[in-house]
Amino acid sequence: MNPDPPSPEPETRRAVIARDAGLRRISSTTRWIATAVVALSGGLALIASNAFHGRAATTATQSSSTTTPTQQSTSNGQQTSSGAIQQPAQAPQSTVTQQQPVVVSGGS
Amino acid sequence: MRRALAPTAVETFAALGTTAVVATEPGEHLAAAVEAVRAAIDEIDRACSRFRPDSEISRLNAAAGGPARPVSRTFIRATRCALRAAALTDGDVDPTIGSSLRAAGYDRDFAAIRAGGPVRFRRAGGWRCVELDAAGATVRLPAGVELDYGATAKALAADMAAAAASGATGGGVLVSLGGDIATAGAAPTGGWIVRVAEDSRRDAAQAGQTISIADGGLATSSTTRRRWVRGSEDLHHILDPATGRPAAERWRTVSVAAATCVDANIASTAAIVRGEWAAAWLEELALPARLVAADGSVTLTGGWPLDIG
Repeated sequence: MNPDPPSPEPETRRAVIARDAGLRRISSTTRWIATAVVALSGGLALIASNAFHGRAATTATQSSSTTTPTQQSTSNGQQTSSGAIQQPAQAPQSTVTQQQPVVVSGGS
Repeated sequence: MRRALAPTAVETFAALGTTAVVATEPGEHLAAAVEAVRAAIDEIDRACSRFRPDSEISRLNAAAGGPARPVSRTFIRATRCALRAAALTDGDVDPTIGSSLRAAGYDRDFAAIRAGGPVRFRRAGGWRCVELDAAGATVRLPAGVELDYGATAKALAADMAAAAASGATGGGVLVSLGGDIATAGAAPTGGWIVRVAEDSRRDAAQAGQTISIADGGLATSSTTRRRWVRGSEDLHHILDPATGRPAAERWRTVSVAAATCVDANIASTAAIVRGEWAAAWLEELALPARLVAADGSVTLTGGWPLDIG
């Protein structure tokens, strides 16, 4: 029959406990830092979005946002039709008629 | 004022702080058409006039920051129209521009505006903050937000008026409100003859281009009209919502044809605000448009006809 292994010395046990506690503190601190960074990034993004109006930088981006004939839900839940601006069935035509125009389309 | 361009008849009268023109084909429909047009204009005026203290928009603006207010079906329609314009233009046509216009001094009917001191410009509140509950028929505005539907309500009134008049008469109708034109029903042979120019109040002899339209709407936005002075600044009424300042004058006048007057107005107003990007944007949407630059040079897009006159 083998004898029981010798129990660690009290100093060694204390060192192991201290090491484990230190590792837990480091792990906890890392999680808090990660959470704070995410929250801070979100907060700064919100501030920036409120401070500056967005605008399409290119016409291609603008076009893609205007050609989906669907309903778009806005941030506050309302439904806004986002159907694209529609062309006329027939484009305007040049005219050389002597007839007087019925109206002037200009600034008002 | 009534005149006959047989077989078309035309009547002109004051409305919405500008001039309304109604033309019918055949001419004998004119009286019934005008009655329908006046009713439609009055409906929009009672809902959307920023210069009427008893209008729905004025009461809503005064209640900003408070609870949601009940609104009419007409106001809901106008609000949807204004929010759609904002969504389609990334906010370049923004119904919350009211506070910006007030800050710039355009706080009363334009005829009553006088020169004043320097302006502290204020950007628009941002259209996404407008809380429309269409099912509950209410709208709520956050504190400090003020609506102005000027860019879209007049065009909506023209579309509604033309549809109502054509429905009432069964004939072809053209309605112009300050140069924003809607048509409905069958056009006269050869189309409706329209002079596209800078100033809708002046006659057709002014510089411009004469075209014909068979359907849909036509709108012109111009920085040459509704100008005033504050401090040392010469201002115009088309403000960039992002800054609250008058839009840079890359284009002085933009005319657009579209399926409706509302769509034409959205595009022409946004084009002024967008400046350098406008022609490419209109071309990409295949919208027939005529853009007059500050130096008078003309750019055409989307199949707008060359001037052969």
